[in-house]
Amino acid sequence: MGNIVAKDYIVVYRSGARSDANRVLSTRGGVSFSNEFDSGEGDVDLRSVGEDPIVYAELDMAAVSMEADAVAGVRSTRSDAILFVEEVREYAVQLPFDSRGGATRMDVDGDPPVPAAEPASRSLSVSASADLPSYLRGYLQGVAGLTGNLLGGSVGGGVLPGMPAIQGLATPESMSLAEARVAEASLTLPSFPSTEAEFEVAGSQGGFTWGLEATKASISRLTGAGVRVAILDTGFDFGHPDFSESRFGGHKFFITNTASDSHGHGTHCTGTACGPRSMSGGYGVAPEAIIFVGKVMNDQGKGDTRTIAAGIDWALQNGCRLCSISIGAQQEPSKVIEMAAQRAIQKNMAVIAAAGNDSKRPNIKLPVSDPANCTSVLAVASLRQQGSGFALSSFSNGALPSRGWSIDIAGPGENVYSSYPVAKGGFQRLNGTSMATPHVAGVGALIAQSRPDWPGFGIMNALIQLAAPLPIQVGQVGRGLVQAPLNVDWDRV
Amino acid sequence: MSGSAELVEIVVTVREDYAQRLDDVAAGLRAAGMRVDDILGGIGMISGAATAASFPSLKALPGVLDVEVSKPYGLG
Repeated sequence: MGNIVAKDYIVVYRSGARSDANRVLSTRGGVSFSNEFDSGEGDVDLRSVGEDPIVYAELDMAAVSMEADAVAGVRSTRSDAILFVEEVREYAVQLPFDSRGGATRMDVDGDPPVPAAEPASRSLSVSASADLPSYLRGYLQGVAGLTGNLLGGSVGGGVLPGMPAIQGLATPESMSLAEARVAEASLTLPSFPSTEAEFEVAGSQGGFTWGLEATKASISRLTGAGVRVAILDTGFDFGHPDFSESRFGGHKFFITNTASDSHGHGTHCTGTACGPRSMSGGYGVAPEAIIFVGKVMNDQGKGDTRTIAAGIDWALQNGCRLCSISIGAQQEPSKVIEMAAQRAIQKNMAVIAAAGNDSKRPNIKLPVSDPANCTSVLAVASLRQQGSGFALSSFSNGALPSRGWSIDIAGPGENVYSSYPVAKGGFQRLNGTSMATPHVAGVGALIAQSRPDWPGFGIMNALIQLAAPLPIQVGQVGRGLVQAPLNVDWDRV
Repeated sequence: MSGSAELVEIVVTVREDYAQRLDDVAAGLRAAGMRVDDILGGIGMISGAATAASFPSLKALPGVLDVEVSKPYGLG
């Protein structure tokens, strides 16, 4: 009694277990499959499931109508053919508004909405669109128009709102999808003094590194205090004078027999993410974060899927909120690392990785390395200083038209000053997406400090939300230059 | 038959709904001939080594989502 109202549910099958799952639904859920409807067969009003289940064969799911008791029966089954059952929720169309206050035109016959911007911008011709399906043409035009608007109506020599003129930005002759063209542009931002020349000594005595200034970590009131940050790399030189023992929450080696770093790469990356910073200077983005050193790479800089997966697991189990992985290989995304990251970011930890340094721009552009090319891992490109602005590093891997992998964000990755093993001089300037990555992880720690209960994907979304757009193709730098939140109220609207 | 007996280092991804039963899954993997080195409870994976010939039977075990051969990585 009382449970006689049937509601609609989506039942998610284990991949390949459709017939077993249907049997469970019939025997325990009272669902009849005599008239099941394959969603691929034609039009169906999905708003009313009715008596007959609708099977989404490609998705390994079905929409069924069940009473609460039947749902409980299905959920309590010992069969593993059904992963979970979720009640159908209501969603509504979100009508976007353009800057003039009117609703954006939305076609109902299958075309995606085209932003109510100027029609395809004059300088962004969509030359490759002639033989594309109409929805792709519409999408391309929308993107072109939107890009044109964002860049002040014209890309070549355009002006970003509130920013000085762009210098040296080549006008792309065509923004076609077929040609991933890199505009190696320099953007003049409101200038901050370059302290690079004066920066001779470590820590607080010599001013800030250019990376801390470019990311605004230099003026942030956040320090990453209490946030656990894992650096999965070649380890750390625990004898370094800039890092007291109290800075470390733990260390573990997954390769070799010590977490100590005689290579240098790990000590450098750790310094950028978590090294010292005061009001007057420094090289570390999150100087009060708790450092977890995971040595997943040996002293020759080699590791493997097993060591990296074990490192991610260790970081997650130790409550780390950030996992910085300056590691890569030119290969397809690892399903293991993707799944590990997927599980981590649903919990407390964001996973950030280097795009890789295999390119020689402008001639050779190579795709984002694994594991940065995993969907659930934030991919970081490298920038260099150019004048008072920034340009894409020639070595930085990026999006290619032949692959779906893309860059999410960019960070300072050239001439990066940070800690180094004492036996090798104590400090070093290095280049690489490896150096850009811990800048992003450090900023992630500042975000995590300000939002203690956020899951990993929330931190990653905030990193993208805060980034400063660059006049460089999004496929090469993602949303733009990583920017530190200045205080806890960074998302107040 | 030479070569197929060689152990290959692997990472086994365990299904989400078996997250609380990793030890059971590991026992099944061992019984199917895998050398289990590490059970990664946070991300639901089990690492170790097995012969390539045994991969299909490992993949068919309850709770196993995927078996991936460990690949080398360098610094980024």
